[in-house]
Amino acid sequence: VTFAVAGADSPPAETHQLEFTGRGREYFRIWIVNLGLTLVTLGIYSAWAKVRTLRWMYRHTRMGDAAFDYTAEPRQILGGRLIALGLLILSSVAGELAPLLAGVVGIALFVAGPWLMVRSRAFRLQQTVYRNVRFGFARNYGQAAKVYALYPVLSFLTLGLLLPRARLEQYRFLVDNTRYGTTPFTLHARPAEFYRAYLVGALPIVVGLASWALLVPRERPVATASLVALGACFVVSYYVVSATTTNLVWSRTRAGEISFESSLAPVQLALLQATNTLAVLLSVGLLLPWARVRTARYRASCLRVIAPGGLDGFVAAREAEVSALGDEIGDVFDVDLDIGL
Amino acid sequence: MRLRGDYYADGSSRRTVAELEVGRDGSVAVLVGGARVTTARIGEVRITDRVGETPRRVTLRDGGVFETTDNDALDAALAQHGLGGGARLLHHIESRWAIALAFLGLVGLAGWWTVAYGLPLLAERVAFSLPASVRHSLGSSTLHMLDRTVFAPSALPEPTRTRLEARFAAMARELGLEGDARLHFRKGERTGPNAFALPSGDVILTDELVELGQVDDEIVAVLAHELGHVVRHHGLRHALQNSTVALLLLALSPEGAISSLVAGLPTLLVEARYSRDFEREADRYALSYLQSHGIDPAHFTRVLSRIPDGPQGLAFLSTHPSTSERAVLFGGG
Repeated sequence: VTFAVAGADSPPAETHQLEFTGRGREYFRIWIVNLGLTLVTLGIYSAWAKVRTLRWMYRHTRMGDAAFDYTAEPRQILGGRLIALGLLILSSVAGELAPLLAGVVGIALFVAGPWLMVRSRAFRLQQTVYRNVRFGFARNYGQAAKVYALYPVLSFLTLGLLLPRARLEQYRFLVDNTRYGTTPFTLHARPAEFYRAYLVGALPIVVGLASWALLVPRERPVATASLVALGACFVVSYYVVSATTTNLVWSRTRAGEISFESSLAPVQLALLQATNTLAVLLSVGLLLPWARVRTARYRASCLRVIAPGGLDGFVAAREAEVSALGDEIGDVFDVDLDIGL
Repeated sequence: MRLRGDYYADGSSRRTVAELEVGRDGSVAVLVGGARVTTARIGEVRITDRVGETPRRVTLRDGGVFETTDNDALDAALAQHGLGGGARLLHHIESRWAIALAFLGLVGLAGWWTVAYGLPLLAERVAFSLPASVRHSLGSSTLHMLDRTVFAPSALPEPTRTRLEARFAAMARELGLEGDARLHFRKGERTGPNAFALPSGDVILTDELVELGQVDDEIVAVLAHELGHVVRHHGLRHALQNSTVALLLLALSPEGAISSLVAGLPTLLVEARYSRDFEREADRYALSYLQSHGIDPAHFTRVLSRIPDGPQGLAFLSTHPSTSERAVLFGGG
């Protein structure tokens, strides 16, 4: 969908709404065939399953009459996936049998974390194409170590006071190293804005804790109910912070002349996740494809791209390819990489 | 054959409405406003696989890309030249409800079989094929950690320990477990009256349990049960099965915040079921040992019945068979 707004003497500023056009029923069939073939081939097909799923998701994500695409080939992924899976089995068996060894694995993951982040991000973006121009990611290992190792330690030492700053620096790392073709992305958010978002986000927790401390429920059922309510406060806080920081990051991001508008609503996001969880549990997993599609549709519907000069003027960059190993290790160890799209 | 779509020249995001012409002779041309901008042979172009009703990209020799949603026409053109058969078959499978339902049945059945029989069988094979030295080293740090976090040194009188150690050594010798199984006495603290068999073959007996025993044969019954765990490598098998099930379920669950909850509950259920199965096997082992040595099996039930009841949990979440079920097997109670 494209809206053209004619300015007085500037070229028309185009606002493009992102949309997700995939349907749950189409995805269900792809998903169940993926599962079946993965089982029958003892997991080998999982590389194909991953690629087909991502391709389906990316290609159904549209903006300005063009779709995104995921270009990685299953063969590229299979090798990295096998190595990563071996490491995962080793570490989880170690976790059950030798707690000390599991600690060693944990430390190794912490040390390898920044490397994983860079490689995984670089692979994903390099394999993402829109209008025949690929995205890219600068391999800035030093900055990765700073934002994923140093800042978390500092925010731990300062009892969380530095947490909003750490999150901002992590977003800055993710955005500033991203390119669309030769056009770099830059993040212009200030620490004060992040601190404000976290302060607002912490309100439900503060209110919840204060009223709990004041009332001090002693009777058993009331006490249990109040603990549940307190838990709900934490959940609401999580979604407020997650939605407001995502909105903030998008609105402060520039790619050349292009700017973004994100309108995630915390309550809607929380309700979406809650109903998804319930639906998946009650349907013994059968509604999982539907839940994924719902999430993708909502997230896309909240993002708009404002392109004053249109989307025609981008140029592809040439660069060396990154292997899939980092992405696969990040994938199987569930290292959190995603910040929305 | 002509397909409608968009054309992008090499390295440019400029979108141009275009057509792709595929000739009977295998020639491919991109037409913009009726004029040919680039040509190739169909064997030279790269065409992305069809996934549902999504657009596909035709990459030409010069790096130009033609993007189209006209999937059926593109498939027909490829079929004409004997190309892309595998991808078409995959799409065919993915677009039929009857096949999807068949796969659903297959996944359900295969999932159930894997969890109920496949994994236990595999874990058993692996556990029995590992050399003893590997098994020992795998679990050796567990006892150290338990000592540091849970247990205190045993305060049992020396004669009691010597007596039980002698009985244990005799049992282990008989089972061919010399050097493989070792008995340790510990004060159980918050674990209370309990006995454990670690994957390494270390058997731990808490002072609290020994004190509940009125005759040595009662403790011997418990030791027979624990040695059943050791002989059958239950610790290692349990670890292997649990970690694989957790991995499997995590791999199948949705991404993000939901995943831990969605995967966690079924994992818990399956792990409890595995644990009960191992306990039953160890029970049967103990029963046959006691019977073949002329020891009254009811000793086992008697010492169990003296253990104060913990919180009564739900049967399907419990890691042990119920005491009443065990009383039926061993008699007494």
